[in-house]
Amino acid sequence: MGKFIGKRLLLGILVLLGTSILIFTIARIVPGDVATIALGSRATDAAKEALREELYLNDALPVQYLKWLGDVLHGNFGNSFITKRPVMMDVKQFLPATVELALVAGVFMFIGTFGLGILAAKHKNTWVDGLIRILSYIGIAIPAFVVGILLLLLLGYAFPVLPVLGRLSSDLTPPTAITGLYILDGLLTGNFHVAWDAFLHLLLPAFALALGPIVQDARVLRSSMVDNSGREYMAVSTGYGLPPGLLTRKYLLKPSATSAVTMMGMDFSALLGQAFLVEKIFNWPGISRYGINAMLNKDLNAICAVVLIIGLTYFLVNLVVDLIIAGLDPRMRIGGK
Amino acid sequence: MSGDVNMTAAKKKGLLSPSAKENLRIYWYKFTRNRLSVFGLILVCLSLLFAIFAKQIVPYPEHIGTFVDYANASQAPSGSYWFGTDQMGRDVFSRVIYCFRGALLMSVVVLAIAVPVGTLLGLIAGYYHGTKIDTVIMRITDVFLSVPALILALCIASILKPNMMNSMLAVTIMWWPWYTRLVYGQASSISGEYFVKNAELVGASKMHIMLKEILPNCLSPIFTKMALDVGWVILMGASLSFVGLGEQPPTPAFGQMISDGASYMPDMWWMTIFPAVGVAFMILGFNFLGDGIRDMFDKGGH
Amino acid sequence: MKKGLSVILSFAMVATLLSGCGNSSSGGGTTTQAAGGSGTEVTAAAGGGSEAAGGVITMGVSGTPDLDPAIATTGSSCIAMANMYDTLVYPGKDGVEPRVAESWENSEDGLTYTFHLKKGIQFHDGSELTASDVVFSMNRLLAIGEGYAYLFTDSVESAEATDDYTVVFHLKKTFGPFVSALVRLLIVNEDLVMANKQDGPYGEFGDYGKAWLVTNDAGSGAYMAKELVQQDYFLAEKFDDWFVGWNNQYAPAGFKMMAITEASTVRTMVANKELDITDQWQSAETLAALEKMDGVSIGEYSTYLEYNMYYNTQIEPMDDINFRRAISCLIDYDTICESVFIHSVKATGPVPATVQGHVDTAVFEYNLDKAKEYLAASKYANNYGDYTVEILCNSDVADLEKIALMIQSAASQIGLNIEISKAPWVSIIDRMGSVETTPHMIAINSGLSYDEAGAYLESRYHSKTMGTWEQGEWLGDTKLDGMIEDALATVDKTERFAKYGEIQNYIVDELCPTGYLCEMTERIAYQSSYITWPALENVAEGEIASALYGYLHQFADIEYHTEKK
Repeated sequence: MGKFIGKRLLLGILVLLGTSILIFTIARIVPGDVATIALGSRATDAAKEALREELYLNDALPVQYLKWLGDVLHGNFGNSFITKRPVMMDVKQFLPATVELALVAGVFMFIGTFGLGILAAKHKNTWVDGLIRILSYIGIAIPAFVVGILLLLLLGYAFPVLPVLGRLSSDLTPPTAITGLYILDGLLTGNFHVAWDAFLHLLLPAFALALGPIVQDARVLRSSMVDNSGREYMAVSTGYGLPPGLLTRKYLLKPSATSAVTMMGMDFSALLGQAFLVEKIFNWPGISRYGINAMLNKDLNAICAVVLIIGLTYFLVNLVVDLIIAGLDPRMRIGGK
Repeated sequence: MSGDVNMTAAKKKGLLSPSAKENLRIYWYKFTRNRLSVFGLILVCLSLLFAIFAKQIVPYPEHIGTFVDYANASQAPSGSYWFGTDQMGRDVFSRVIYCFRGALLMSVVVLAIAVPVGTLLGLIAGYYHGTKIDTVIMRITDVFLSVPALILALCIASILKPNMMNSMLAVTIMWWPWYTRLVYGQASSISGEYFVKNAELVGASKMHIMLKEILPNCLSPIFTKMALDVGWVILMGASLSFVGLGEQPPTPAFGQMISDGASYMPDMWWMTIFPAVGVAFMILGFNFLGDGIRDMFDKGGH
Repeated sequence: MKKGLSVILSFAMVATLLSGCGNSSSGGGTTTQAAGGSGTEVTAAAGGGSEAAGGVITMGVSGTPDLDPAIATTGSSCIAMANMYDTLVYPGKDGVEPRVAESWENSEDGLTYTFHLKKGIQFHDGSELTASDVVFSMNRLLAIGEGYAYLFTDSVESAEATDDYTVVFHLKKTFGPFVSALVRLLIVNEDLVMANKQDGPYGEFGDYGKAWLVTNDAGSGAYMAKELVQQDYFLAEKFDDWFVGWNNQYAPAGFKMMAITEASTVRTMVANKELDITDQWQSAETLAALEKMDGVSIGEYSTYLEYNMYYNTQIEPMDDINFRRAISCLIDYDTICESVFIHSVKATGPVPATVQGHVDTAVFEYNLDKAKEYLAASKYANNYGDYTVEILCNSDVADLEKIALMIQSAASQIGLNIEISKAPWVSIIDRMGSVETTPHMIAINSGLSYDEAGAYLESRYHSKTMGTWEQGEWLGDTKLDGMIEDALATVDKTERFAKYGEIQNYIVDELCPTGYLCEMTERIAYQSSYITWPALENVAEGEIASALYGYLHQFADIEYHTEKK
């Protein structure tokens, strides 16, 4: 187990290196003079030249990369052109908001996927299955940001029952930062009121984000379960007289969950990068909005930092997903082959 | 799609198998037994008809092209405009019907490239589970997956000329790794099963094992995801329009119509809801059809 | 069941791992808290005492402002600057009025300007504003070379403080609108900035306080920076000792600029009275919906923005002046003002009518027959059908697509092919970098750096801006360059304005490089039931308030009646 994780960590570093090369290269071959975009077309030549020098833009691309990598390894991601301060400060500000959002959305995804998937498989080809199927089509036909707008208008505007904008009501001060996640910090510092308020603020954006993945993953889970239920071992196990509950959980759900868990892991890590529109609608100060803004403004340092951070998260999530799958499926056990 | 070809081929070689023609008839019989699949087939055929004959069947074909009519802008659905008009006075119904063309083309092209490529890579990596091949393929997949799709699309958008082909390219590039990851999970668990070992012992080629022993067992989730992905691909257009990719104005596209209309919610709901219904129509069709085809092979294959 | 639990536990592990990741990244380095990381308390706690009535007025902006006066040029930055910093002169109805300066004079040759400052002006930290601060501000602006530095780099030789209240500017060459341009010289507190300098490229001045000024202010204006959370909000509070004085007892105790643009978000916040003033980029439909809400009114004003359709005059078929004239006849100016940029004013030339030095020119009308005539007179009379003319739209601005569609539709009626494409702003800037890639047509609105026609003419048509987004025409007309330079170098105002007039007529009659779509009227929604906004409300019937960007949002003049909220 330890060896496996060690190996994965090594590979993870390799993947991050690959990611950094990919994003560094494409961000720099994207056309447009960075200095002009960052400083405005009327900035003096001296100011533009100084910025190009700072970004090593006068060097060859591989040299630029190595110099940049050197800085990064020293913990220096450079300054953002938009916020005009070290990128790491921006990341510190924006990442926890998105992580918190993604975590709650992840919990929704987990509950929703398994709940709906199992329900649909159990009641295969009945009206329950049909209803869930229809729900899933609706969930897919309406993109997350439209769901977001609908929720916002419905619950924030027409029937204002839930707070809809930002992370916290404006009359509350954020809890002392321990993790940067308001709910957790609120709980840890005993500030339950703040934690509850933060949780309420999270509900709508998290739901808007989770809805699409839930219905899709639930369908995948359902079809795997239906597939496996037709297999011989299920018939045999039923023949042995195993109780149906145990049968479903142990012999049906476990082997069927592989695909759904894989998908959920991917959906979860994709949330970080794709929450852009939902963050915009709910005025959520998150990393996704920051990253897209950076991309739209060719904020080189910020793009690379954001992509690497999201890459790191992706890697960690997938490591966990692989561990879960190994736990679910003995054939996948580490060193199995 | 590659699945049914393999299946039929496999059957042909068998001794007691029915002929190809009989086979088709059996499949058709099974297919038509499931009413939902037939319904799906009808929806897909309708979508196809819309796509091909859009200009002939819509009430205002000129509203698809260069047309502006501020006098009739933002009108609610009525007898003359079934789905209302948009902020430029164009008939939403005509535009929704016309969207089927681009949407079908986009989803078919993207999936036709992304699914086989992604599946094949996933199969190889899964079969060679734990070896260097696995590592290389899956790490490259990881690199692509770890870059947020929208950022990747933005990069591609700013490098390439904004047109339909390049939009499809951008979407395809971010789509294949999902299939690789999905198939990999399935394939690597199956590759240890007895029938795969058996085939290896018998001396079957690796190609044969991957395509004929492992692939059929991965088809179910692939099909499910594919049918659902039709919708996702269409909606990607909405994100792409932020960077100027996708259909160029005035040609309508579902994604753009939905996202443009969203800023007019809720007063001008028809500008968002009807295109969304259009997407749902297509997704519904493909999913029922997809489920039907899958069930047909599932029960016929084993 | 045990295994079922393990699944849940594993998920909890994801959570722990992730929060651990958030933790480590927020814990490393400085001690600022994660969410309000950039929020910084301003040390200058001047004034204090009893708070006047009035709460914090909240306005929507498209992005949080840059707070460094040497960098700030974006819309929200200009508003922040106008409220936090003072300048020697202040933009008024006809030219400039004294502000920090009491009076000024210039030498006969127009190369020396002497400003006499008012005494006893306090910065936010309580120290006095003196001549050396003005000199420092000018040197800092020139050294950094961003923002509005370009207004002065060509002309200013040096600045000196001859005593505590006298500043002398020495010019390299005459620059007629010099005093008008000084509205962009924001006076920073030298001692405070230098006390907060870090290492940097400017020798003894270190980084010139750039890093510190990202989140702090060093001004003397009506409001002082309290907290900036990047891409979220900026909060400023009232400075009680502002030298202009507080006649307005209902002035808001502070202002908050929130970065929100999404229509549904704006609507929700306005309905809940969480947002007092919207930004000017809301669609006509959103504004109409907002206006229906109780106590919400639409305010209209102009910041001298003119929407221009740039024609690339160097590529076929736009290189023919009659072809360009034909295109100008395809633009439906009235519909643009009625239906796209509502209540905007028809443009009458390259410079908005309210800008000093504007003259009316012989601009074009929407007329398809005229367009055909011009087309027939052009060298493409026989083969214009072979060309496809591209209109490039900024993908962020939906309204531009509407205009492009209108032109496309008109063009198709006379057999001209127009293709519309969209691109994000970064790609647009890049495409405009060379003459071959600059599109046939692109609509851009350019603002005004100071209130004189020369500012517009120079940035839009002088060859030095070719290759930037400010000029997609690629005129490269040496005669025009000479005329513009000559006008700007003319010290006498009447003479200078006469020259501006000649230039405007020359551009429209001889070059026709641009379609003048409209003088944009910016429209915002605000809570008029508890906000009184004199600048917008006290204009005569049928007129629109106009001022340089930021100056209409003088929060010190706005009455904020919390009791009516």
